[in-house]
Amino acid sequence: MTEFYLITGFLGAGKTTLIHSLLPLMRGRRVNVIVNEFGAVAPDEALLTGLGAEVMAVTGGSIFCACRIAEFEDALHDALEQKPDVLLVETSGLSDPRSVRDVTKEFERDGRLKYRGAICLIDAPRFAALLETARTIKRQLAVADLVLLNKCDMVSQEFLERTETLLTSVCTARVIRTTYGRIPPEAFGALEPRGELPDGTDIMPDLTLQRETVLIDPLMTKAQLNDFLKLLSEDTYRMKGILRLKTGVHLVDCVGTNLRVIAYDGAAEEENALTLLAGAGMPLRQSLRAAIRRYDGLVRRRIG
Amino acid sequence: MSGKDVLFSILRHEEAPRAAWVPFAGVHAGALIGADAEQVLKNEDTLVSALMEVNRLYTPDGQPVVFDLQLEAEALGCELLWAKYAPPSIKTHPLADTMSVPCYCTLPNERSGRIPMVLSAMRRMKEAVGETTALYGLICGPFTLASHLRGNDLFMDMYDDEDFVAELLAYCTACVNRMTGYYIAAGMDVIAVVDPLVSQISTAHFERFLHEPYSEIFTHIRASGAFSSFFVCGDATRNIEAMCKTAPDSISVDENVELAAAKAITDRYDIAVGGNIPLTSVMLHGTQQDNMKYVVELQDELSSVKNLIVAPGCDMPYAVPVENTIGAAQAVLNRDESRAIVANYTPETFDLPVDLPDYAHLTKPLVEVFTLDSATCAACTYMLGAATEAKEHYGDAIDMVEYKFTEKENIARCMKMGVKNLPSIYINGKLCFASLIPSREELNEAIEKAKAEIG
Repeated sequence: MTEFYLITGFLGAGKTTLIHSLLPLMRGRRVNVIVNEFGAVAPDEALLTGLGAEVMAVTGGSIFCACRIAEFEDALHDALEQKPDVLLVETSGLSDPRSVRDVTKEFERDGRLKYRGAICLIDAPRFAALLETARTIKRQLAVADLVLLNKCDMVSQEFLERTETLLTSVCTARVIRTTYGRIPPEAFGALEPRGELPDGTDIMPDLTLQRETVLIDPLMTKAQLNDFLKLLSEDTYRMKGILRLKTGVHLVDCVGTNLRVIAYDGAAEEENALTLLAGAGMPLRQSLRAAIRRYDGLVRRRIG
Repeated sequence: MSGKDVLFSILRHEEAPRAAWVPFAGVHAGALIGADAEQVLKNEDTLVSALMEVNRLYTPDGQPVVFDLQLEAEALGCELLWAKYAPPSIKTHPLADTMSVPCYCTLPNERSGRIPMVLSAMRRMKEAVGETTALYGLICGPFTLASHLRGNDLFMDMYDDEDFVAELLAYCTACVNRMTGYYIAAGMDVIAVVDPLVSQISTAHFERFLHEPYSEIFTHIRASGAFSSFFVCGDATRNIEAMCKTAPDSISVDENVELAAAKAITDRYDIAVGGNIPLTSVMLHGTQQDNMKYVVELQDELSSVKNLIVAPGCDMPYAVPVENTIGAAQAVLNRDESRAIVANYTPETFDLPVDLPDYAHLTKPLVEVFTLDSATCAACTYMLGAATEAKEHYGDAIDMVEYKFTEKENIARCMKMGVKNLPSIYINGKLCFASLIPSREELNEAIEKAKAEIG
């Protein structure tokens, strides 16, 4: 029977890094990974290939949204056909995973899958600020069986104490402090689902999640791209894409104002698409319009 | 011929023996069994009991199951403010600070909010009276739903970011189409898409933003086997022709629209028209004879009852006296007898003493908002919302007051001021905005002008 693990956490919390640190713990076992991207492309799929696991992607929305759930069920079915020992599912950072057991139930019932639990990554430096605006975080914590408070090395001890106090006030799962998405092997081994979700969880849809896709002209220089990203960094949670530029292929992986554009040893997507994600109160639409005006001809917004 | 058959003839644009009669009893249905608005809009058994009483007392050809334009918005995350004797109003707008078009997977489904309760009540009503009474499923129109989600800024967006408005309206249209499917499956014969704010925009904006969504909605309703109604409140006179071009089976208007003039237009397109008994001055505050006389004269003014549905202008106020609605019903169902009964009747007037402000000697701008009732009329809510925003901006530098037409002295005030359309904004006694919700800039500019005039 395949062991099923759900990896959740908000955008940029370190979910892909966690999978990197998990794979060595499962050496000798056959591992499949399903990566879910809110955007149209899946850079994380590319980042995880070549690590010995079978990786597939579900893009263009959360796997738990009505518009993608059938696709997720198909992916789950295909993955289980291969009878792996372990199946890791990395959700999109904007996913509300509270219906995960509704999806896995059928596969659990016929004995193909054993649900081992959900690990939620929390970005220590940004948690307090995000909790105010991003409703998804509370929903991800609601299903978590283990919480990894990540990037603890990036904040002071006092800040960390405050963050952990805040975290434990909104979540009842076990919390472990960590860096670089590392998980103690014994904590991973002891992971068990905690049972049903508590009653009264907020069931309202979150209308404020924003996703924009822009298409980048390969004639753009890296300096222009950096400036373009800078114009938008305050008004996004995340910007992601693998882009072909004048100077070669680059991986764009930005979390808030932390911009990361690095050379990438692989092919870019045909469309040269960059996905931008934002949430409540972020004027992404307006800043994107201004940024596109500045780079008229080199960037265009994809409609639909 | 059952009442339902009469209404169907009218909606098929055939000759009919009389006009059709559709009392829009929403929260008022609760009043008939002693239930308040919250009980009737939240409890299925209470709702069904109240609707059965409407059916028994008012002998309608058609009747709505629920009249609550906040139902879909609530399922989408708007918080509601509940009132005892009026439908709820919107307290929070989820997109107020976020210019975002939500993912379509967030659209309401059969399990969202109060929708399961409403669908169940619809099925029960279909079973109980569906043979003889046509049932109306009322859906919040895309423009009003977009306003519920975005708030007053939507009126600015129409100038600042047309694409955003078009995309948000497409999302709201998808919501209407989805609700249409649920309601028709639950037995609704007529789908009324209720969009009060349509009366608050120009024809150019209607054509730019609403022609396409509404054409799609009415095509979808027709293809799904139901009749359609394009239901507006407020002075939609300027947009009647544009509404006809979206091809609904019928159009419903309130007392702000002159029915004979509207019917002259709808007749050209062979579309039925419904309306427009005044909700407060006649139904709420009038007598039974007032109602009877009004409805007799309304029909007599028109050359034919073909394509005519007699109905209250909008959702009936909670406390409309039962006998008034019965009087209106009689005037449709037994028109000649009713004409004889009220032949020598002289209606009561609203000649109450009202003191108007001394507009010539104001020390600061006075913004007066005349509404039907901002708690129950969505157009009025957003007109008052615009004025409230201005008051927050200017603070003590201006005065702002709302006059609701539901109160007798305010009816007298409207008459004395010569207020012709509701909602309207007057500044320093001068009409500035009638049935057109101003953007923030437009209202502030008018206030600045008034300030300059005071000196």
